[in-house]
Order: sequence, then C-alpha cells, then structure tokens
Amino acid sequence: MALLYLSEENLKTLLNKVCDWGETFWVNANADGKPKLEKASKQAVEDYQLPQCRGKDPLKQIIFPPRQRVAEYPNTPQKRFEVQPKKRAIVGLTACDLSAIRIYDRVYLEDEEFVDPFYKANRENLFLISIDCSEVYKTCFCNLVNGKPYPEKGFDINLTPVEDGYLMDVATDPAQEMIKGIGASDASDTLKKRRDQIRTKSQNKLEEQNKAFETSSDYQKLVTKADGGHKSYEHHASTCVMCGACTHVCPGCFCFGLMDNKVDGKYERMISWDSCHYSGFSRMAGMGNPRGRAVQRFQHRYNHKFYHYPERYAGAYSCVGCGRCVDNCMGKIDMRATLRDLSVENVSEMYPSPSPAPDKDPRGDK
Amino acid sequence: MAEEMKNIYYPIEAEVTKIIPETPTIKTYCFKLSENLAFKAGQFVQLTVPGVGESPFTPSSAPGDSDYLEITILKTGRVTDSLHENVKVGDTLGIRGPFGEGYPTEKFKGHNILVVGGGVGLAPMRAGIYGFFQEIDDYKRVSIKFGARSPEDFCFKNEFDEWAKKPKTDLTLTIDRPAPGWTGTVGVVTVLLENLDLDIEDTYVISCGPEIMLKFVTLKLLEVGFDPYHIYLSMNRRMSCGVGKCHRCNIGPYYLCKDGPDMCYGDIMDYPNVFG
Repeated sequence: MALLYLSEENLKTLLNKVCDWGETFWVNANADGKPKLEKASKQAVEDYQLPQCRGKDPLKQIIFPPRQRVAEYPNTPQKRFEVQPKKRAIVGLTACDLSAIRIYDRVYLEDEEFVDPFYKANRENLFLISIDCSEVYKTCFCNLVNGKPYPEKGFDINLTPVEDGYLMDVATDPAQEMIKGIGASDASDTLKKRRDQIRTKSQNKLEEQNKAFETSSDYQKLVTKADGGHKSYEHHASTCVMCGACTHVCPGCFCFGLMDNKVDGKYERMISWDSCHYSGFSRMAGMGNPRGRAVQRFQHRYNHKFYHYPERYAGAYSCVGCGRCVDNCMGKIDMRATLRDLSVENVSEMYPSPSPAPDKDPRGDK
Repeated sequence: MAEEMKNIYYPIEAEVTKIIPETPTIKTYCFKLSENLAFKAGQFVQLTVPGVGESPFTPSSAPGDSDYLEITILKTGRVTDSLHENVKVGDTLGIRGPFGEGYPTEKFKGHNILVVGGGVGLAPMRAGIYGFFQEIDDYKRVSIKFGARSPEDFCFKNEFDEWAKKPKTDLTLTIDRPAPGWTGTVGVVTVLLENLDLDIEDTYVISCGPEIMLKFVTLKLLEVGFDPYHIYLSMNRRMSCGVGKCHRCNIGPYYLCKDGPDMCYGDIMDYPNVFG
C-alpha cells in the first residue's frame, strides 16, 4: 500500500495517537542492554526510542500470557466464555516477532476444529507497528529459517529508519485511519532506494555471520532424517541443564499445561506455560515416560520446530531465528550449531560444545 | 461487542452415582452428567478431580449419546490416588470431551474382530465390546482375549459369562501365574494369540494394556501374520488439552489426543520409541 515519509515529530504524534486508541506496549531501546518490551504511556513518548533490532523479550507474553485463568468450576455460569475483544497495540516489533505471531495463529486461531477463545480475545484488535532491522545481533539467524530482517506482511504499519525520520509502510485500513492527521508526507524515490540499501545491508550481514552454519539440505529434511537420534543431539545436549529458559524466551514455543487450584471455596483452572524440557512434561501416572532421557527432550524441541510443526502446517517452521534461545542458554548451546551438525556424522567434525561466544568463530580454534 | 464461544477448558458436571470395586486397585465410577455426552468407542474424556487436576480415560460404558457414563480407574498416580481415597457417591467431578478419533468401526464391519486386553486395559475394551454387541450383525465374529495377573485382578468378571453367551462371540482368559482353583490358561496374554482359529487376513485387532504388553502383543501378532494396518493400539500417553495443542502426547507428528488415542500400528511403526 502507501509508502510515506515520517519525521521524528510525526512519529511522536503517531505514538500519542496509538496510546489514546488502546492499551499500548512497545519495545523500548531507551534502556540498558537489549530493548525491553514494556507498557507504553503518553508521558513516556518523549523518551521513547525505537529499537534497531528485536527486543530481548518475546511478545508471546502479551498474546499468550504465562498464566491465564480459563475456567471456574463446578456450577458456575462460566460454561461459555465471553470474549471481550481488547484494543491493544504493540510498537517496535521485528519481522521475526511477526512470524512468531503467525506460528500462534495457525495453532490457536486457524484450526478448523478448535479456536481458542482466550487467544482469539488477545489477538483480535491487535494493532502492530513493526520496524526494519537496521542492525542485526550476532545471535540472529532468521535468514537460516526462511526469514528476512525486514517485515513483508503481518503488520499494520512498518517503519524503516532513514536519515531524519522514517519511511512508513501503511498496510491496513485501521492503519490508514491511525495515520490521519499525524503529518506524514509522500516519500521520495531517493528514500525508497535508501530503504532497499538498508535492507540489503542487514541481509548481507546476516548471511555473512551465519555462513559457517549453513547446511546443504533444509532443516526439515535434516531433523526428520535424524528422528531416530543423532550424535549432534548427544554432543550439544551435554551442557543442557533442562532449565527450560530457551522454551520460555522462544516466541514460537506454545506448549502449555492445565493446572487446577482451589481458591476461596471454588476451583479454577489455569493455562500455564510448560516446557518440553521438563521431565514431567510427558511423564505418565506410574512414572512411564516416552522421553525420560534429557537428550530425548532436547531433541523433541528440534523435532517439534522443524519436523512435526512443518508437517502439520504446510512446511512452516516454529522457529523464527531470533536467537533469544542462544542469548539465554546457560549451557552455551547454539541452536544453529546443533542443526548444522546434523549434517555431519562424526563428533570430530562437529562444532565445539559448549559453543564459543557468539562473536567468536563457531568452529572453535581448530 | 461480546461474542459467545464454547470454552473447551470448562468441564461439565459429573455426579458420582455409584462406585463399583472391581479389583483391590481398580474401581468403576458411574456418573450422571449435567448434559448429554456423545462418544464413539475408542474416544476418551478428561476427568477432573476438583482442585487436583485432570486425567484422560476412555469410558468403559457403552458408546452412544447419554447423560450416563462409567469410567473404570486404576489407582496409580496423583489424580487417581485422590480419586480413590477421597471421592464418594454424591460428589461432583468434571468431564471434558469426548476427544480423539475413535475406532474406524466402518472399516471393521464385515470382518472378524480380535480384542486383546490386559489389566486395567480391559476398561476401554469394554466400551469397544459393547459397541460391537450393539451392531453384532455387522461383524463376522468377536473374539476376546483377556489377561490379568491373577483371577481377582480381572475387571468386569461378573459379566464374562454373559459375554461368552452372546452370538458370534468367544472369550478366553489367562493369568500370569498359577493360582488355586484356576483351571484356565496360565501365561501372559500373548499365549492366547498362538494357534488362533481366525482367518487372520480377515481380522482387525484392537488392544489395550500396559505399553510393555502392547509391544509384545504387537510382535506376536506380526509373527503370526497380521498386517500392521489391521492392528489398533490404545496408545494412551499423557494427554492434557485434548485438542492437539499442548504437544506432549505425540508419536512422531501424530497427536494421540487428536489423531488417536487408538492408533493404527501401521501408521506409527516407523517412528522411534513407539513403545516408550
């Protein structure tokens, strides 16, 4: 749709308008370390800074909260759930964040047999303002999982930082409504060319930093072939402590458990994030466990993301290559290395475990 | 504008009307439901013990559309311990479901059915058997093979005589170790699968029991010449959501809660760790 030019002042007007429209969250770069996902407010618009790359937190905490009450029983009128659509906006998302929303949509919204009313309520009327990645982190690898460092769809408004402002892509009707009167002007051809340059630069940077992890066959084929077990899983799981951090920071992990509690004489049921890395995840009464060994659970995560999920959802991975799992792993496990090593058979040819720091050569000193 | 949607996580009320002790560790719970529940043989429900949690069970009463339901339960974990120890007649529990595909009974019709059950695995088999009895004219034969540790470990033993008298039906039992007064077969349930007097190519098998039993039953069935696509195994792994979301009950890309829990062995045989 329309490509427009937005000055810094125009952006502030837009953000104020968004805050007035509904409950707003933003990924704020004006904080220590990586940009933080936080509640937005008009008072803070002046100090707000758009990020240059993804935030450190996954946005799933907004569309799929860590704990959510889904039922109260018995004998309550809450047999049916009243969906109250919420007007909410998130600002400063990247292409990988938008892909992650698609992962959830396929599971909770587009299933022919079952639509999750709680997800639907969180997802509907969600206004999304995304950005191009003008920087990429050392742990970013969206290019290895069919992603790009700039969004092509799934946003209402996308912003590319150019000199003295932004190039704004307005993609939806609600977005057209939102930008009315904020002072945006037509974008020049020079600015459009500038956007292409920024995108190419980030894309090239990603390709360069991830060259060492490239595999000749795609991840779905590799992971499917390794279904019976692979030395790469044994090798890289050796430093895994099954803490579940990777699954909790992963914007594409969506597993949950149902927990029942007694509260004030009533019973309530909560949906709560779970993790396939926990030993109790698939353990049955009588202590039988189809994934009793840690490495089986480690592998299950790869199986789900690159084999079971794509098989169910037309080839789409449930990994967006954001690299948050790499950033947060205390065992220094790099998903890219595990996947790359599925393409070799001998441990001597594999990358080191634990993985070297992301700014070092992943192949180690050898 | 508020929109009404079905809340899949909400359990309907199920009042306990009767508790029948089956064995020292197994009881059958009879429920009056607050609304009708229609289930097919092989489908399962999630039973809620209030405040404790849910566990998946295949009902043991006849399939159909009714507000009456029976579930036969072994005391073996957190939820079932609480159930056995605390739940009394008159208490209200919760039920969600039914979930899963159920048996492809249309495919079974016109053929022999071999039912192989062990231990508390007899419970879901009873729903299947009742289902076959309801439409017995559509089947060539129903051959039932049950195994248990000892004579007192059989559930539904009071019904066995009645089943054996049904037309086109036979029932054979075995116990793991000899016991005083037992004149029948001794040995694990696979001994009943030797020298079957059934046309194997014309027979479909349904089986439920501990995973280790399912494994050896399957190996024996393959050995005596069954087609893997004629074997249906009750693969009741840990299932929670019931609608193929939470991804804990999978075998390969199959979700047992949605595509099973009774899986055609031919469909799952190439995946690792099918039997745990």
